[in-house]
Amino acid sequence: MPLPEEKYLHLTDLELLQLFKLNGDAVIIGLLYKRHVVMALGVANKYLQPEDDAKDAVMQVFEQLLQNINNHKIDNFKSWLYSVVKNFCLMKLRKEKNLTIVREEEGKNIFSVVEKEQLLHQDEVKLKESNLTNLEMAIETLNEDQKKCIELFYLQQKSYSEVVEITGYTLNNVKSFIQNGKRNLKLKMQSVYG
Amino acid sequence: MDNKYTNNNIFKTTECPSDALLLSYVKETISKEDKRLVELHLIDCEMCNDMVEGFQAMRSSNIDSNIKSIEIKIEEAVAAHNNKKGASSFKWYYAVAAILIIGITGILYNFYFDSLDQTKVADLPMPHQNEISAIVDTGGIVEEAKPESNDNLKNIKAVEPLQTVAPIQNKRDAVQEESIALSESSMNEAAPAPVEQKMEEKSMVADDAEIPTKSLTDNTTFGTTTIAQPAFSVTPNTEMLSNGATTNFTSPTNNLSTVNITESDSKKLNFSLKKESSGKSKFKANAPTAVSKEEAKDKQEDLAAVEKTISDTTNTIQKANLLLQQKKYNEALAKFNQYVKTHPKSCEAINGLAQCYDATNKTTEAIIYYVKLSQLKCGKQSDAAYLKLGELYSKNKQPNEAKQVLQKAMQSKYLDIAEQAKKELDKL
Repeated sequence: MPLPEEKYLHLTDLELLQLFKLNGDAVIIGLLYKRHVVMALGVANKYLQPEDDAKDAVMQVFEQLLQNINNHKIDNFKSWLYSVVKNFCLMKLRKEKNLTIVREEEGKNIFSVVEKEQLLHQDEVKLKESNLTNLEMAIETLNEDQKKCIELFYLQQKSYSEVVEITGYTLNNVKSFIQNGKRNLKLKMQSVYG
Repeated sequence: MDNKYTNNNIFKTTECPSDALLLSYVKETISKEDKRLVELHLIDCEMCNDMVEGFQAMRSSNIDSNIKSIEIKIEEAVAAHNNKKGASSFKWYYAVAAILIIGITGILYNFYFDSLDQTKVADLPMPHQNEISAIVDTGGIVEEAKPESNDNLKNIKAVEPLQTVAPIQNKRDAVQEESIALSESSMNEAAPAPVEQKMEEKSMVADDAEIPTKSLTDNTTFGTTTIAQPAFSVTPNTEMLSNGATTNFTSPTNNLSTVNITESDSKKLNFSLKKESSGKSKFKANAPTAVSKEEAKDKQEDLAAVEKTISDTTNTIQKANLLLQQKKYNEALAKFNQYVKTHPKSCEAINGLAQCYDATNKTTEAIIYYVKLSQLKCGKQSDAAYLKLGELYSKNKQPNEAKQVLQKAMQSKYLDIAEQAKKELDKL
């Protein structure tokens, strides 16, 4: 028995959204959501445990999507969905912990997301190649942990697990040192070398 | 100073990898090169990083089953949503349908009675004097015409005597010759001389004529021809028509309905008079079967366009298959996808897509398309899809799913597939 959504398979996310606005066929949103459900489930499972809670959250977001999606202007569905799922999970965590102070812009509506794709890649810095010669000098300014992890990961092209083995840090620490070290490097490059 | 970081693209961002690749990373079934690319990306992409960390917190064996269960729940939610929506619009739907039916019925009703009104008695060509006399003389029974040379008109039968003959007879003095003229030129010598009989409209609608309009129209039925007059009763003297005579039928009220019918015309129009079981004559004029040259040309052009489309799509699938054979998977994927847009249920294309994804180690996508293939009625291909799914699930360390699909493959009527499935099951 062919699936009812087969006729929409060839459409892009944005085309599906436009079509849904026209005909309101829930099958379209189902198809769209299924395209990104792996991401949604992964993100939900990061913030909510056990797995069943994460799955419930994914389904609750979908239910809200069916009702409200037409009220939003969406340019990149996957990025937007990521923000929605993450906000939903954070709100749920806050409720469970009885946190009464919820920032208004986050608390009232999980869809109140300023959707900017660059949020996801906001650290991107357009550096000229000539500036890269200053990189090594900038690295010297990092603290010892960050410097060690940055050198192992980028210079010696070690994997996370290898860096963990070499340094003895936890995986989360390694990630954190690399991410923070990279951010500091960018700031340094921007401020000192323009 | 050499910059040893240049080649490592420390600040270069990359596009998000596919979900399948990220899942492979989580399951540690990824190549070293891909792993490096994924990790470089994860440093910069919060979304992918969150997703990967989320799945790393999940038991590896549960990942696929959790995804599958969510997909099923989504489908159920979609169905429930559509049902709810359908239920809420139920009354409106029927209300609109009822209004439409009532409206259409009303229009048809008016149209029917309007047409009856327009079918005035005056519009109905009457049997000419001689025939009326004949009818009266034979007590209403007119013998069937037996034309000698005209096969097309051989079966023409006189209109059955009407109950209204007597009133007609009473008024026949008032009838003037007008509507029926038979051409002398085409008459056989043996045929009687052309008779022109004009029936005056006023005399036909005279109150005391009492011609039951319905009775006449019931006995006479017309097809769709250029004879546009609705109630156009033809009751020529059949003997006169028997030898290919040209008959000029004229409706008193509408010039449009003047039609010259020759023998050849009668063939074109597929004239026939059929006797119904009730014994009443029924006149039928079907649409002409001859097609004009322009129409024929148009049809040929349409046919050519259709053939070209078929040729193009055939070329697409052939090229796709060729590319698949040549192991140009990306190009083959593009072609198969192009074909699937117009043929979403094409077994060949779905199978091709599955093979492409399988060959490029995109297991999740391959599984999706093999599942689709197994759901389509593709005969051996569908059964083989179960077998292939078994392999992929085994490869994915999903023994339960693998067993399920292999058991289905074992039920295949194709022995080679069933045997192969049994072997795979034994391995599990």
